[in-house]
Amino acid sequence: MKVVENLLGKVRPAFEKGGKLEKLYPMYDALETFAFVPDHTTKRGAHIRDSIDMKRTMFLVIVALIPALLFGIYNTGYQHFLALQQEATFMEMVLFGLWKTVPLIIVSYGVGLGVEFIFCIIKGHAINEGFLVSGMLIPLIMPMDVPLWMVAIATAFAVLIAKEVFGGTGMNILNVALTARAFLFFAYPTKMSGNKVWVSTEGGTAVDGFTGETLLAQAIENGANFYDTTGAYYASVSDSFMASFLGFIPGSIGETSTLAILIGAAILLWTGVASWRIMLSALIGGAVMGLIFNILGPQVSPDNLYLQVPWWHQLVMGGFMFGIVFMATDPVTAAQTFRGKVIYGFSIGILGILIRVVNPAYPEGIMLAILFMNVMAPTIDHYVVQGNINKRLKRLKTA
Amino acid sequence: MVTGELEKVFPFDIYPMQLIKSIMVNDIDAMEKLGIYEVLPEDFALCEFACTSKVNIQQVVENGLADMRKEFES
Repeated sequence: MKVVENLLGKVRPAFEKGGKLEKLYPMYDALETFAFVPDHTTKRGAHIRDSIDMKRTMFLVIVALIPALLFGIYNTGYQHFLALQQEATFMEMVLFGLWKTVPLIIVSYGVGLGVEFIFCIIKGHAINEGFLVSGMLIPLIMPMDVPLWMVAIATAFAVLIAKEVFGGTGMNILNVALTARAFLFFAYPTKMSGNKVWVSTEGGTAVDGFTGETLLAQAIENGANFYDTTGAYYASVSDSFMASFLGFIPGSIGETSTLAILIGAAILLWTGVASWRIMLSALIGGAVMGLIFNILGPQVSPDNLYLQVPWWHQLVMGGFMFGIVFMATDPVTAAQTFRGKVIYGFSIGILGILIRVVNPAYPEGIMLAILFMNVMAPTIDHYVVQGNINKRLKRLKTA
Repeated sequence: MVTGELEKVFPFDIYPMQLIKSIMVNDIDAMEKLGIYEVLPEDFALCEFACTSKVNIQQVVENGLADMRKEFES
């Protein structure tokens, strides 16, 4: 750390007022405050401040994403060699996963930070750290075979349209990473959904029976009678539950392993970065909706086997867990009051499962559910705050 | 930007973040409704400690109270 500090100190004069690179000061400032806690001092008010700040908060979220990322890298390779029925060692799987995943991460960060740096230099304000997390989330919610130029376009679109036009970090209405995914989902559906994109079969031919479908797509036809990438059926529902809980199923890079996501959730909750109210109420919402389908399904529409997938299995399939842990809890786009958070999370759970099951055009509904509730969150907050105002007005009248 | 941390350390039945935001945009009506009459700058000392965005909250509340006084004088 000492080396970095000395280096930053040495180049500092060039970026300060009157220096050669004065225009690039926001960039220098961003690097310095990322590496070290800024040396600002208080002038008045409370002279002791909590050491946590925006960059440290963002960094904790990235740490929480690491388990999901690591498992995603491994699973990308695992699914690939499983589909080709080739023997492969653990290292080969990881290397294959890295080969697929690292370019996505580089493109996402490169484009996103590039757009943000340009904006900050034009507008002359400090670079805000908002993209640090989004840049990691974007590759994790993509299929591993999505072309890099699409990721670049989607990232640029999301940063510009979802964030910068609203005034930058902290002002956006929609979750930036989900906007990037929604953009690709509607603009290039063939690369973002269907059966061809979840498992990479390049460099070989897939085995007979290979389908590459996610469990979500299978559930439409088969209900809870799931099969794996090679087409072999799971012995029982608890087997397929275990496979999807641990994450050995096809899907977007980071979303498959519920276990890895729960480790991330534990980090977020332990450090107090994310709201347990949103996570818990979204989980309950999803479970309730699944339960309603389980009870009503056989009576209302016996042909729709998706309704009969057990509610506890619904929760570990697809991106539900990833969505409620990492996307729904984004404090900027979520509801901001305690009571609002509960309503917001519960609605996400309900809507996520509802869209997934009832609308076959969208095998996974959590993305749209979260984006929809992002839009609704200010309204929820408005009524919660209004309730508080009315309560205090009433007290005023009786006094 | 991170939410919920002010409410955690704020004892009154008031939404501190919403109140502070209304002061920042100088919305007198909203300030009244959200309970500016019931607070002093010092009430926000813990909020100021906890604030992730490092906003000088006590200063903001002081400005808000000054605005209210000005409003009554005119």
